Parts: sequence; C-alpha cells; structure tokens
Amino acid sequence: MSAPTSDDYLLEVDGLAKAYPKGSDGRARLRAMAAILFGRPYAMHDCIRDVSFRVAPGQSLGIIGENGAGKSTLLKLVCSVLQPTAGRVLRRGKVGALLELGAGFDMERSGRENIALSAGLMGWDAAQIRARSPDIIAFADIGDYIDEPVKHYSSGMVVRLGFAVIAAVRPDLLITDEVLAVGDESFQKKCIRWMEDYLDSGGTLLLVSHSMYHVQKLCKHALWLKDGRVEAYGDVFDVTQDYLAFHERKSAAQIGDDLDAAYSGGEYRIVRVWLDGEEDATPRAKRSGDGLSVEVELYSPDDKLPQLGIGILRADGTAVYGTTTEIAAATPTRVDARHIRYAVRFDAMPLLPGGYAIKLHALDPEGIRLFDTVERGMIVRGQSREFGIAHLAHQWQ
Amino acid sequence: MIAYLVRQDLAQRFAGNTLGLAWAVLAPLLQLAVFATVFQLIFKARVPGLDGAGYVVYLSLGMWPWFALSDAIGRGATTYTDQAALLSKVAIAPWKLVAARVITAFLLHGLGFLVVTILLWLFTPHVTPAWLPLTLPAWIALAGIAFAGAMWVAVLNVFFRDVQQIAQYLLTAFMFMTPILYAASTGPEALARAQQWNPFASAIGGIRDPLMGQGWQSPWLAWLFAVLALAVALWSYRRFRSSLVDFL
Repeated sequence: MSAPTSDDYLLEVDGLAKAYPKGSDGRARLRAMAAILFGRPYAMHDCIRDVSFRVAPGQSLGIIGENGAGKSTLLKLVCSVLQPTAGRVLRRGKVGALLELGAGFDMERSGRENIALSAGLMGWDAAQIRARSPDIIAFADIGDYIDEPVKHYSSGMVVRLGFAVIAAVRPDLLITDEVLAVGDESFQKKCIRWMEDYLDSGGTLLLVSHSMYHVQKLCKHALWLKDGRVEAYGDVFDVTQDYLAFHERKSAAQIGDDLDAAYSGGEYRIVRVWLDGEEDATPRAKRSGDGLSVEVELYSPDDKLPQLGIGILRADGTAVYGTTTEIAAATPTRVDARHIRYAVRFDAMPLLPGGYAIKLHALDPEGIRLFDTVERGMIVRGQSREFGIAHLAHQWQ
Repeated sequence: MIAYLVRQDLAQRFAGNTLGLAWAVLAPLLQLAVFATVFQLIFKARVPGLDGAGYVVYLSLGMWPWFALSDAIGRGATTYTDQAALLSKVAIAPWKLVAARVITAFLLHGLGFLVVTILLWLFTPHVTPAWLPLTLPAWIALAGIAFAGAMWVAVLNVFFRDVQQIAQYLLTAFMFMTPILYAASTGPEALARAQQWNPFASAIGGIRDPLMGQGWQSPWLAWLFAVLALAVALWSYRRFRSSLVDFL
C-alpha cells in the first residue's frame, strides 16, 4: 500500500487560525476599516489557533469541546462562510453544511418556498427542485406547516426542514453543527439512520455534538477542541473518554479543594507511590479488565505502624471501591526506622472506559484518623458503549 | 448562481404585492404619466428647441437610466447588512449578492426604459428607435459604474452604517450635476465645458442623444470611469473579503 497523497483527502485543514475583531462600537469599527484598507493589524482576539486535520472520503470526524471552544467557528471556516486569519482549508467535492438553526431560510416565507431557496443556494436548478421537493417534504414530515411561514415553526420543525434538504442534496462532505440535539426522539433516530446509511454508502461526515453517544455512534475519529486549540485528535473512543474524564475532574475539583485542605499537615505521611512499579505521577493508561499493582511508602514520626487506605473513584468522585490495611489486616514491610511500605495488587478490574482516580490515605494505627492523601489518575480505554462504572458479567437469554 | 439570486431578489422586491411583477411595467407608465402632466401642463420646457412633449422625451430618456444607476447603488449599499444572516451561515461569495441587486435594478429599469421609449416613439415625433442598439455601450458603462459604486458603498456600509444615507444624498447631487432635467447648453459656459468631464453625462448622453436623433457620441469617458471604478472596487473588495463577515 502506498502512503496516502494529498489527493486522497476530501478535506485538509492546515494550521488554521481565526481571530475576531475586538469591540463593536462605531469608532472601533472605523479604526478597523482604516487598518484593513491600509493592510495594517487591528485589535483582535483569537478564537481558534493552529488547528490541523485531514478527512479522507468515507471517514467521519466528530468535533467535541466545551461551549466557546471554537467548534462552530471551525465549521464555518471549513465550509468557507468565514475566511481564516491564517492557515488554509482545502476541499474536494460537494460540501453540504447544516450550520445553525434555519441557516439560509427566509423566516417570512413558507417551508415549501424555503426548500427551493436553500436547495437553490446549493446549486440545484428549478427542475431538480420541483422533482425532489415531495421527497424532502416527506422526510421533514411537518404536515400542513409546510405551507406556513417558517417564523411560525418550532425550532424542531426548522431543523427537520433543514435536515431534509441536506439529506436530499446528499453532499460528498456533510457538515452538521448540533443538529441532532434539537429534534425530538423519533426525528433524531431518523437522522441517525440516515447518517449511518450515508456513511455506509461512502459519505463523509463532520459532526459537532455535545452528545458523546452520538459522536461514538457515528464517528470513527474525534477532535477535541479546547480554548481554540486541538487538545486531542485520534480514535473516537480515546478522545471522547479523555474529554469526559476532563469534565469529571473539572466538576470534582470544586469539591476536592475543600477536602484536601482538611487532610494536610498530618504527622503520618505518604512519601512515595508506585503504580505498576512506576513512580511518575502521570495517569496510568489501562484497558478494561487490566490489573493494577500499588505500592506505597509511609513516613511515621514514631515507631508505630500507620494504616493505609486506598480508594478507587470515578473521576467525578463517585466511589467504585475502597478498603484499608486495617480492614484487610495487611502487614507492611519496614524500610527503615521511620518508613514502611504496603503493596497491593488488584487483578482484573472490569472498569468501563473513562477517567478514574486512585486515592491513597495515610491513617493512624487504629485506622480511624486521616492524616494525608495522595491522588493518582488512571484512564481506562476501550471501545465499549455500555453505561455505568463497571462491567457486570452477564449472559443474554 | 447569480441568475438564481436575481430571481430571488425580484421575488423579494415584489413579495406581498397583489399585482406582483406587473408593477415592473405599471410603475414606469405611472411615472411617465406624472412627468407628462407636470412638464406639459405646469412647468415650461427647459431645453431650448424642444416643446413640452419634446422635453418629456428628453427628460424620460435620461431619467430611466439614472433610475437604474441610483436604484442599483441605493439597494446595493445595504446588500451585506440586509443579508447578514445569510452571509454568516451559508457559504456564498458576497459580491454575487451585490451583483444580483445591480442586475435586478438594471433589468427592472431597463424594462421601464423600453416601455417608455416605445410609448414615446408611438405618441411623439422625437424618438428614433433605430438607434436603440447604439445605446448599448453606454448602458454597459453605466452598469459597470453602478456595480463598482454598489460594491464600494456596500463594504463601507458594513463598517459605517451612515454610508447608505450619505450615498443617497450624493446620488441626488450627482443627478442635478448631470444634464438630465436640463440641457448642458442652458447653463453658464463654464458648466457646459465641465460637462465634458462628467462620466455620468457621458453615459446618459450616450443613451439619450442617439434616440433623440442628435447623433452618436462615443461614451468613452463613462467607459474609462467604469473601468477605473471597477478596478478600485475589486481592489477594495479583495482587501475586505476575509474580514467582511466578521463585522456583520
């Protein structure tokens, strides 16, 4: 097999950046106008920076990220509604975009007229529009509303109409921004069925969604945009799991800060931690069903033996499992007069993909008072779309 | 794509009117009736050598091309601001929207011009329609000027909304500076000489004069101005293209 050449890609995005002008009052606009006219810089703030990716025909790429991360701007650049500040976008083939609710619709005119309007903008002639309109109306399935002005539509009906047009146009590259979030259950299912069929028949998809379920279902690859930069780009399961773990950590961080303050300054301390024999503090990468060995060195100011507590938590703070050396009556090995070590091994852990935390606590010899806490991360990767924390063994009858 | 946009623009202009596109013919008829009434019955002719009917012909053949120019620039001015929703959601080259509005204006007023020319030819002895094809170069120059003007004003209007008001006053001023309501020869000597360098006079004269049997003069000045104006419009469009939608 030869290496793919640039002609093999339907879409190539290289070093893309976009900055928006700052300020919108009259004087700022006039200053910006003069600056543009004379080719000088003007006050701007970055929206996205240094974004590169490629999409080959038949691929599907999900774009995920928080609100304001630049996802919609990226899509607008890709279908050249906006022009980049730097970098370039190369496209081959017919591109169809469903960017926002009612894009290209005239709110004053009927649904039927708007079908002609937006299909015309995508390059259909009058005969094509006449021939395909019945199919589009059937797909949109909004009944008599088709002859009402679009301003009387609910947001769900607008999206139905927009999607029906794009489904009929069947572009080589389909770009959609949060389309699935608006429709009701049955229309969502219809859209997903259509998209799966479109992908099976060689279509290419660029999807922005906040639903990891939809992204995992429809896309093979994902790109995580964070503060306008690419945070992660690759296999859809890896990227979406990192993204979810990030969110879980973010919501846990607010609670965690308060707790950690209470733990600090104790006499018994955790001084060294090894996970699978590695001492670095970066999150351990695991696959569902892998084992984990933990070794912890504790400092004791006197010659008493402190206890060790260990807990495994989902990154959002949900407890998965916890135990202590006191419960298990485990005995430590003594390193020197002031240091002891505990070692424990978890065999196959049926954890579902996601972010996890391993919390280690230094406890007093009675296993009651908490003196110190150290936390390590663990990311479980996998292609599972099951729900929950752990896989429970089961058989379908 | 432009043909499609022109159809949409026409539909939008007549949307909600019961008579719809019939207005395209009806409006010039009514306008001509007003001109005929006012300038034959109320005001005296202002062009030497022409009676009341002759003056109405002189006025109309100059006025309709001006309507086209003024409508094209006037509506072209607000193209980007009117179509902000479309431009920020659908990939479409902005200049095509301006071109569509200019073409619509010239189609409508060109049709009005034809209707009026035919009527005046039927009912007055002042029109020689055989010269009609020779007005084409002047029409093209006028359309070029209109497109360039609309492109400038449309871009400026994105940054500075007052531009559309200013453009209207400028257009009115230019209309009075150009011999449409009067003949160049009626004013002071200096004014008549200055008219040799008025590109609008060149274009309007290139349309009106042959039809009134006053011979054909090359509208080179209008052409020169159109080419220069288009060059500047293209240059500034290229400058503003990449940030245009950001400011809408």
